[in-house]
Amino acid sequence: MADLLVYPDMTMVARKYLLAGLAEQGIVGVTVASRIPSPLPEWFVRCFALPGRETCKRVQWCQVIVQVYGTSDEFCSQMARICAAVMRNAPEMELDFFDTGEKLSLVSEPCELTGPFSTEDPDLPDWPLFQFNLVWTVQNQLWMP
Amino acid sequence: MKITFNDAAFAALRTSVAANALVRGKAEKIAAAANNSPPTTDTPLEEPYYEVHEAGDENRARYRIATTSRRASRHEAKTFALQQALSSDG
Repeated sequence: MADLLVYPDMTMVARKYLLAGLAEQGIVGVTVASRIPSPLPEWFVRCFALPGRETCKRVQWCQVIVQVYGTSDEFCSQMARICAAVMRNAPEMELDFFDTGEKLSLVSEPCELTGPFSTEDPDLPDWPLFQFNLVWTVQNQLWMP
Repeated sequence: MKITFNDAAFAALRTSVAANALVRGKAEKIAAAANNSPPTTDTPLEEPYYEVHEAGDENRARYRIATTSRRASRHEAKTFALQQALSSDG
């Protein structure tokens, strides 16, 4: 049987990086979701990965979008800058992504950050919103059935 | 060893017909992929959501892909069609 190299679910990976990185800064209880939550909390973070592109058999180039929704531009801007710093630091972090007890580093350099910048969600036009984008270099893993 | 760069030659290469066609082709491929994104409303736009603009100068060929209207911008905010096309290289 051939060995399979499988890429992780990058939306899950991004969410775990963000929650762990925020917790290290003492920011806990944050709603981080890939879709708009319902009911709407006072503030929340939307975080999801776009389809990636393989650069070689072991590595994929992947974009992650992070959006901070909140009650004011000032709050969203500050929280987005903290989240951006956490996510930019992903290549330095090791986490137990698959609940196996093994800490892994799935993201490496080059890691590029664009933003944060103010934008608008047509579905929530009254909500202040700051977004940043990341380009991550992602390693795949040997599939262990 | 001293290296001297020939900036004029670099500019000539980067603005050549071949370089211009390469960059334009890439931009058009990405824009076409983004325009293939399904509409989010019952009445889709008649015109494309995204179009390619020539933005080169005397030093390099360059193209920009932009939304065509306010409605197209909202389409991008909802679907991330252009970001997805960029992410997957069209």
